[in-house]
Amino acid sequence: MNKSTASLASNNKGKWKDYFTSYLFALPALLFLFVFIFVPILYVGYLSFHKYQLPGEPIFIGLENYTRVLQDEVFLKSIFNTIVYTISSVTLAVLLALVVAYLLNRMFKGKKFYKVFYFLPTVTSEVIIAMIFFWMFDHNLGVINYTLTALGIPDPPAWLLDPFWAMVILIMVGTWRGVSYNIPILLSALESVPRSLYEAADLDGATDFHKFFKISIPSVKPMILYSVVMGIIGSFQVVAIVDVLTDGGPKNSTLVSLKYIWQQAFEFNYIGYGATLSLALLPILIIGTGLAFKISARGD
Amino acid sequence: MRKITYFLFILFLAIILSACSDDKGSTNGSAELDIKDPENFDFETEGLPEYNKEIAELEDRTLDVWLASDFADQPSIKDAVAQFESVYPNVDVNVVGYPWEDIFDQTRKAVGGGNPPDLVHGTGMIEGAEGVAEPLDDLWNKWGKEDEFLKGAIDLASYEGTKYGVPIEINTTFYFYDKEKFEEENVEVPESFEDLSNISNELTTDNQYGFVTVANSWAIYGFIVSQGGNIVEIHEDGSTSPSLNNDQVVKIIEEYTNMAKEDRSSPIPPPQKRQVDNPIAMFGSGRAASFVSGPWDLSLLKEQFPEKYENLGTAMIPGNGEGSVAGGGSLYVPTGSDDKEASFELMKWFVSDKYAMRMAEEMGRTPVKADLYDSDLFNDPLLQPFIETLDNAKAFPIVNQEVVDIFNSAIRDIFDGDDAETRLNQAQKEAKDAIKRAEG
Repeated sequence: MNKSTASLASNNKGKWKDYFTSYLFALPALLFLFVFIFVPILYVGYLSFHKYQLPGEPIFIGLENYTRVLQDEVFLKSIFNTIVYTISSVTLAVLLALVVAYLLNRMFKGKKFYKVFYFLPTVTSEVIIAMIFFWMFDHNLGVINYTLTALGIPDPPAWLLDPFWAMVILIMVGTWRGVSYNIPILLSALESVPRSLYEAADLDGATDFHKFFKISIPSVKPMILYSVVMGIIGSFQVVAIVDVLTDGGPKNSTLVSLKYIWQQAFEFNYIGYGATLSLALLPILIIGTGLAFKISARGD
Repeated sequence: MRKITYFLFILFLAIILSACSDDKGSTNGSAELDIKDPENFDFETEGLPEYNKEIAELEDRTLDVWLASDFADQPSIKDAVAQFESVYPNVDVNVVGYPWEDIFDQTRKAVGGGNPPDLVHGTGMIEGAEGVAEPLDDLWNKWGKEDEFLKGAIDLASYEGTKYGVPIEINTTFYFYDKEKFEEENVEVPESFEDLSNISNELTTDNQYGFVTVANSWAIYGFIVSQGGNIVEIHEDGSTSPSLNNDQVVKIIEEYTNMAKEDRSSPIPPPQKRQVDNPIAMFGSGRAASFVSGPWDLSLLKEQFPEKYENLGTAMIPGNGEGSVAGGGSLYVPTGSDDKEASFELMKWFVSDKYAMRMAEEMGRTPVKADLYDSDLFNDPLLQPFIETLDNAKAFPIVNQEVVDIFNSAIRDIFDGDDAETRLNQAQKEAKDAIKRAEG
């Protein structure tokens, strides 16, 4: 063995030792990930090929659940509703949060109060928020219809019983929560943009509009992407708001995927079919997130 | 100084926390509950089940008991457990509270996982149908007290003729009305369904509905029963199948929903699954003159709308006087539990005269034994229509949750504009498919 080969071997040995040590440190986290993420996903995959009704045993039925998914019009409708809800609420939540964060980024008195105030809806329970909106929009006892009637409008709409308005109200709730969640993230990103960039733009005679689109937005793009991805994931998990406000109605017009999956798996006890529906949702989430990354990368 | 401030802060926190804690401990001292010589104690006079030597001779064991949260921490339940433990010191009872809406799902998972509790609060009927509950006919026969229970209560705990539970409470629906408004409009209390429709129209003004409908299959089943109808077909072998579109059901649902859709004598029910809040809110706020509900709304009205409670009148549900729907709860032994006998013995204690009356008095839970309604506690005139209806109250006969959901969705859609006959025909087809899927 010549000197260079010996040194290469010793280098490789050192590298392996480094790798080994790194993996050893990461092992608890990897184990956690494996036991609580990968094993359940594999188990969901296993269940999707079975008819499983508790307290019975799973019975292998091959691709039957998958065939049923493709013919399940209610599930397809729930996906469509979820996509409409997601695109609308995530877009509005990010745009509005960006505007509010930009305004909050200016120096003014009471800034801290507003920072806390705008974050409040995020730390409030979803059910309570949904109840607040219900008390506003309920057609029998809600504040809005009470006011409209007092103003002389004799037959105000039954908001939550109209497919269009019911979805609009859900989007409003989602947007409200999303704005509140995104503001601190985007604000901290905006605060880290060097002031000198704005000062230089001022010297060049840039307007607020130009500064917003040419400096602020490009600088916080990674955080916008983060907000969009988190928004997509969060929107696909919405259940409580729908449960409290519309129960998925009228005529399934606000039924969202996760509520339908929960209903099939736990209310009707079709655990295997619920597992298949969950897996069917996975590619949509991956595509949604991938698209968000792609759109974001296009501008770079 | 900082240490003192810190100490004072901790002290303050401890005081606040102890003040906030809702100590619903035993109302009697544990010494008072202790039965030291059970073999010579007069259990019957005390309204308690007889001493069971077989249970006293069992090896030491712990019973895991899952009750609805609003039962688990109640003094009457705690005292029943304490006294049971004093009679059977070999049996430890560990009571845990679960939200009512989660308890069935949790039990199903526990049974599926092979680690069930020993006694659970549910309906008995649904759990029996789903294979989650142990049949209890042998223990019921040995006990020999079935005749003391209301028939509707036994039905609630049974499935296809087998008893899977011991009923702990029963309720049914009846008519609530505002006496003052009825007198103002000079109208009589409705006796038939036709009366209800006409009188509700007469009571309806710009600011007030005559009646409040609900979009819920269980509540509407009360009207179907009251007119002698049924939503299931009973076959020769005793099995049942859904009959959601028979002529009588279609007619009743059409007329019921038309009160909201066409007559406008009722508001359109809200979209939520939970429908119980709207009628009492409408009635309590003076926006409706009548509604149909259960005894639980009597105490709610008394607490939240005392001025309405003063003018409250009650009557049997308008119909042909054939009864109404029965609801309530039962205790059952989950499939696979090893302590069936000891659990059944504890159930007897929970439904004993002594503790049933305490639950009625302290918790407003109406008892399942007919004789207990002779007590002064039930002399309230507002409760008389309820007590009269109990004799003919019938359990909701559909146990498949998907079919219940199909029926609920159909009712909702009819309220939202669908034709009753067409929508119920579709529901019947969907129900048949759902049953085929569940059985296949």
